[in-house]
Amino acid sequence: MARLLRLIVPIACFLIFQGAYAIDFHFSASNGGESVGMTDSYDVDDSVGVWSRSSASFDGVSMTDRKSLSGSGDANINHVMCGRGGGSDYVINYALETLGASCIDGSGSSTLTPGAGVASRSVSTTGSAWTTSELSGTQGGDFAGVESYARLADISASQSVSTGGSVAASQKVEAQGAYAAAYGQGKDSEGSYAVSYADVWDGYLEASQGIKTGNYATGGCVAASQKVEAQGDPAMVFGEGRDSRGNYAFIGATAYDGTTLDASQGVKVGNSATGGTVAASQNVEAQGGSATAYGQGMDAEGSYVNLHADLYNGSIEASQQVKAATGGSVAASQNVEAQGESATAYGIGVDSKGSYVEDYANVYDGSLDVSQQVKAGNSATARQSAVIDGSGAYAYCEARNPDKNYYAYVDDWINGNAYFEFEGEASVDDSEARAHQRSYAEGNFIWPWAYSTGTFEERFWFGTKSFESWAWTTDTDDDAIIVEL
Amino acid sequence: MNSYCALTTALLLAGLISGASAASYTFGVDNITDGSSFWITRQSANISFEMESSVEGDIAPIAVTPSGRVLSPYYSGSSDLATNDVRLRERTAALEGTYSSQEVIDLLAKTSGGVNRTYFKPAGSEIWTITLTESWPVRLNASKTTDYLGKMINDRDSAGNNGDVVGSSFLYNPELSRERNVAMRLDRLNATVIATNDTIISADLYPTRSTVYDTASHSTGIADLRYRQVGEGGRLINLGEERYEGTFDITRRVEMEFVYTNKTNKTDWLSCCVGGCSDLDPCSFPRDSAGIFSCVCS
Repeated sequence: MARLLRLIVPIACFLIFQGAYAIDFHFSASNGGESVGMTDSYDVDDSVGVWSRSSASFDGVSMTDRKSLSGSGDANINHVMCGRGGGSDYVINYALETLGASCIDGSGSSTLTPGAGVASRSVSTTGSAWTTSELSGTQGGDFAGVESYARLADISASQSVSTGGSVAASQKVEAQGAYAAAYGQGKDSEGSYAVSYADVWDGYLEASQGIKTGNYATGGCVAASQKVEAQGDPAMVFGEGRDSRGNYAFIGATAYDGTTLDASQGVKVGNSATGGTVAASQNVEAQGGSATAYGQGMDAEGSYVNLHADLYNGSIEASQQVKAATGGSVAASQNVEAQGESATAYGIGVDSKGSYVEDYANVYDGSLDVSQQVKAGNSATARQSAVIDGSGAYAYCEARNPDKNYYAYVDDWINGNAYFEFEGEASVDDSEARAHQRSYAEGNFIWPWAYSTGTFEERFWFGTKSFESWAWTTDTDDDAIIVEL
Repeated sequence: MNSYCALTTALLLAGLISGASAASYTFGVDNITDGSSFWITRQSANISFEMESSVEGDIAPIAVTPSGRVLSPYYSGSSDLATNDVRLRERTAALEGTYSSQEVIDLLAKTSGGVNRTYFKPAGSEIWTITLTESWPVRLNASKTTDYLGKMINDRDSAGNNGDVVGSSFLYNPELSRERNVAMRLDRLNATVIATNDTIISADLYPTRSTVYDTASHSTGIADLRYRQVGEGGRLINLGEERYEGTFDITRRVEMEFVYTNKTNKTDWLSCCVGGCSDLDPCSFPRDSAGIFSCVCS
């Protein structure tokens, strides 16, 4: 919830900070039923210098523009650019607001034709109470925009947007201070959207984001991507996408206590008209402290999957993918390599009727190398392959149908000088729940369990052991078995 | 005399101009604080128009039916040329008599030069300077001779060029012999608006233009001659109106020109405050002579 509250500020700002200005400058040109134009609005302190030069040509009407900004103090600026008559009409909007900056430096350019427009803006502020810079484009109901935000932070943001067939926006943000955020969103005319977001508290942020909204009518998709380097407490990055049918994918990572976070994310929302899928993926590296990488997918029928990779005092590399497809299928997978005081990776899949599967792997004071996959639709399955080496190790696979009280669980738990190699899977549907694992284990104390709805099985070993276990519950049968190999 | 000639010419001319792909632009400044505003919209096109005509004949009654229906003798002609506020208007109407006329019109307008807008506010100043430069040149040359002897002729024309106007009207003339040459140039238009966040202080248009109106006439009747020249911001500079009733030989040449020169205020090459005000914001340096020569830095 705290994360969501933090999001409200910058997201709510999108295209809203267009308040009162002191002076407006209008310039438009037309020829043969086609036109381009721009309206620039300013409310700036006397200490802020502004310069702009715009040129209109009429051999096929077009307009070019360059601007600069410098000085200190407060500035509230809005630039609206538009084109008409060259296909779908478009509007490009730029808004900058900064309060109490000790230094402001900005520049921009744009090229407008009736059917397509390109605009770029760069701004850096130092010592401001807050600065927000937004650049977005809309054409034929498709939207793409980027926004940067800084509070008690120095920030430098370079943004660009283009229209013409598809709408694309990108930005590169560097910031350091109390709080900084970078946000990008694409949304097509049917309501499908993709988002990239990154923020940092008490630290620094470097984010490169790209948003593209393809033309819905011609089968275009909505995509968002970002590459982020951040360090703070916390630093967060996420991407999400939802199509107009309700399929949803989310991917994110958070680092705490000055942990460095390096994340690359991509979100793609397929065209709903052509039965597209929603997919999100990320590669996350975190080092020096605590971090979490997570993902979630949900289809329009209510099936969902979750992924988590958690680190405490160490380093982690996580690659995660989430996919929600039209027709009732959600899948997620992750590969996690971690080393630290504690590291955990788990995946959960819940089908449309509430049955779920989970795979889980954990290490204390050691390393974790795990690959997990979960899938949910009318049924759910989970699979994992883990190699764990540490003072303590734990891994399990679990399946449950709560409506019919079907349950299956197998694990391996080791305390002291632990090492094991674990291969397991779990599945559940209307007729059964099953879990299975096969392990090679070393440790001071090896203590595996196996559960079904009506049966519990356990073993106690010391040293080295290879074993296999099964648990299952069906309409007519249930059992739990552990077998030494 | 085919009285439809001139009329047809006027329609053709209008058709050519309206058929061209018109370019236009709008330039505006709105001060939100006090509601003051300045807007202009201009329109032109890449146009060329050339016409040469020669007419000689008698304006006389003609029978149009075998039964002897006769049309009253009459001639009328008009022309309107207008692009980017360069205009030529002609009106002629004559009753029975002898009439001859030669006319040449050459119009060329271009929009390929483009339009530039800048606005600028230095740091440390509250003054916004907004400028516009339009490079849509127009050249209009028109010469005409008229000779008439008969019951009566009214012959009027007016040449306008972005606020400047020269024209003449010969009314109720049973006798008129006249030669007139007009040459108008519009090179560019500059506009400058000075504003603050609180209000628009000034807004001026500066069309760089020239107009030459040369006429020589012998007339019996009423002869009206007039001219008007405006300067910066449309302010009236020169105005003349004359009326002659009787028989007169008049020779008149009017030349009007307005050239806008972009003036840049030069900064002092040597500040008297060198070494004494190094910590000052350059924008707060003294600007008036008293401040400069007394080295008062605040």
